[in-house]
Amino acid sequence: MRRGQTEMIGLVFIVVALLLGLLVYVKFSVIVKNPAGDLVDRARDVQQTSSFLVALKETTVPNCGGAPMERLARACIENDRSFCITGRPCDMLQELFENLVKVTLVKQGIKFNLSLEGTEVMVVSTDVNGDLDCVSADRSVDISSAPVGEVVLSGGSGKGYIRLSMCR
Amino acid sequence: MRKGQLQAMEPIIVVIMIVLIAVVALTYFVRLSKSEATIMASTMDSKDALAILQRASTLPELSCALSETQGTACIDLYKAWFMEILMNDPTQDMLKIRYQPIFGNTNVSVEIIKIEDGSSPFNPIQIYNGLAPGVDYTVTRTYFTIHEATTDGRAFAIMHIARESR
Repeated sequence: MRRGQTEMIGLVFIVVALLLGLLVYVKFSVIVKNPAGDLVDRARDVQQTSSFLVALKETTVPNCGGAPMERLARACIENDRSFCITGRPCDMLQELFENLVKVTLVKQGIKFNLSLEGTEVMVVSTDVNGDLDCVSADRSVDISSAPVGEVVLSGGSGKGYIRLSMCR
Repeated sequence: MRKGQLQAMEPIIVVIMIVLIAVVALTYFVRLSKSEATIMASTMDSKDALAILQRASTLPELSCALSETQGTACIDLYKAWFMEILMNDPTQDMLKIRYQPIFGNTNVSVEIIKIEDGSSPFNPIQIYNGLAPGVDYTVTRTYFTIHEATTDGRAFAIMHIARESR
């Protein structure tokens, strides 16, 4: 091989290396940008959902002798109609969930799904078309955080769960 | 271009190529580091918000009575109101210095939610204002309960922590 040919191969090698470098840069610059945003949001979501559930469980149910929401959730799971004056704990819980999210999660523009497992109590945010936008069956959404708040049932017979998912 | 001129240019081209590759690699790593720093800052903000709430709820000036605390974050409504009055009193400027190590350079306010009808019955209570005026800020929120001693009820509340944007 002549010297000129060797030099040309060297030059081609450098150009190929440069192109590969650019390709890797472009690829990673796109990938790096989005996960950063996602992870930032996820860290915030986990903190918010956890503290939201703890506060929710401890909040006093209005006009129910100072009973906490956790007690109302337990009455709903166990269908305890003797709890409080309404006799319909699940309806009451549904209404209080709706009132609460209206001035918190909805106001902050967060997509969410707040439910009491094993019951029909559920509040889900809706998109501009009025469709539910944070349901687990919908694979187009990414549930970024889904901590649960435990509700201890009567006589230690098990546990119920208040679940709050936030979606992106 | 003659063959001789081309041969003379070769080392220069090689150096330019190497410098270009180095610049691209450097830019990429700088971006990666920035991204990691952003994630870390946000995680720290979230942790910091919880830490501020924990510190506030253990201050005798704000904490609930021992029997009401039950091991979780709880602030007394009337103490919070009194704290706001003190913080807005120009004769009490020393208080900001006293609470600076606890709250840092932040504005901390508490919003109470009335769960019966989904409303905020009062304006947010500003329990500390240590953020310099006019700076850009970001707000982190965390949730807790606020105790009202007269009714012995605990209301859902949001702590808004405004700190200078990073």
